[in-house]
Amino acid sequence: MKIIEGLMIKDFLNVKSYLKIFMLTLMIFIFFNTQMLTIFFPLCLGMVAISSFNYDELTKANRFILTLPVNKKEIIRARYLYIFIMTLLGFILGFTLTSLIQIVKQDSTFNVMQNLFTSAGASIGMMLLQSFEIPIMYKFGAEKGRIIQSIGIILIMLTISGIATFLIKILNISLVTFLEMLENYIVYIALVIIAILYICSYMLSIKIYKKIEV
Amino acid sequence: MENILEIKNLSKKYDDFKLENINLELPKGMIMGLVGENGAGKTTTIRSILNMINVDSGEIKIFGLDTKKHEKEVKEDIGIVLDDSFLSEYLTPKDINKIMKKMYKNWDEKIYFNYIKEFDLPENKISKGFSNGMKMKLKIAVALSHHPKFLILDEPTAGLDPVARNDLLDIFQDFIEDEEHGILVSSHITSDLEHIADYITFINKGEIIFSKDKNELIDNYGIVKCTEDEFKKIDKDDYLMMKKRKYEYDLLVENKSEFKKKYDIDVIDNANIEEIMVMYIKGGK
Repeated sequence: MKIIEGLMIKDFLNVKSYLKIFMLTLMIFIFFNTQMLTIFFPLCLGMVAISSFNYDELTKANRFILTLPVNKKEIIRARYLYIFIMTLLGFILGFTLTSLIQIVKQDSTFNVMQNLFTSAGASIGMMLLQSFEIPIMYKFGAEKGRIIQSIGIILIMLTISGIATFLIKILNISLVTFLEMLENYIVYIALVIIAILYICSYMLSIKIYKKIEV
Repeated sequence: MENILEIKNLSKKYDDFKLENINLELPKGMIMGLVGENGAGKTTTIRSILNMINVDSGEIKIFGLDTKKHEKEVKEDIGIVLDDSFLSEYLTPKDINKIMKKMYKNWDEKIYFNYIKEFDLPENKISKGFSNGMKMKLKIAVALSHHPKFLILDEPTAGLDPVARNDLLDIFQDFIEDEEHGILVSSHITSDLEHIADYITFINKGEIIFSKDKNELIDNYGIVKCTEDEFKKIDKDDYLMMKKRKYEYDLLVENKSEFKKKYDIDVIDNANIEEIMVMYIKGGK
């Protein structure tokens, strides 16, 4: 566990220079559109987390890391945990900071549930993306991975809309009723899907990384 | 004598390059220099030792332990400097300490910060702005701070100025004073190896040409300079490599004195490691 901690500390320390930029952006949002922060934090932190692949690529860090007393499984586990924690942090900050600022500003649009849902939605979206992104990064490297990832996103969108269209067709209902049906369960459904995807993604990454020669 | 490193029949095939049947033995208390051209297989050999690549066949033992079965155990006790790879350039030496103390059971902050001081490295600056020499020193500080028993160094002197290189060679000499220790160091700066290595292993095109005691090499190997007429009289088995010059022939011989006894040729120079290397790479039979 200590080694996993060490690897995560490395990823955290790598991006500490981003903090200043974050603070600055925070200021701007506070003055203009506080509501946007609910989405801004999960998205930004989620993306910063993925940039750990780019940092590693710059100095071929994976080679060096493999000279330490770690195995490939631990490297993958540390990376997933790091990305997950960063995204979770994004969600927590997005929700709490936005709400706090709105309370202080006595913003009339303040709505706790709305903040919670938009922040959670953005985080879940981010995690959906990450579960595809991470194995791609391991397979193709951070640079090539970015291109393949964009193609991947389009494919995911098409698959999701395909499945939705298919369900609407067999259930023989309109899109609106379909969405209304989902509304009550959407959070649960999303959480289950994300959990399954994350676990599959983790196992796939281990499989890929074991074969890769760094 | 016990071996700190043993490689048996290591092979690894790539599309355009292969390591073939590498066999190596490094006894404790010794420094082995790995020499060869760029792309000869030095780094691939080191990466195989460290389990970074999946080899096709072969067995590697460090401290008598199979490196695949006892990977973590073995890696706790080796210090490594890789030519082209490090943790990150966005970390300060202080950050690196925070990380490394989680990585090695035996990480010793005190030793680490002593090296950082000794090497004049700023503790609180990210290493991106460091010179090549400073970056190398940082890697070496990291490699030495967990009481390793075996050092594996891939081109550690590359990019260092002569003073820094000498300092480094001194550190390696100190390290090897403990007879339980060992060093495997690859370099194409052969003069560095001539200073410190006990054994020289020469790799060319993925094969080991020789792995020998350095003194034996320097004492016995020689370069014969002869005319065409003289060359025609020499048996092919009596020299290792031949290089034709404009008016004369250079021959690399394995044993100067024996050669002298057999043939009546006066001009036999001592061969240093660089010359031996060049003869093997550029010469023919």
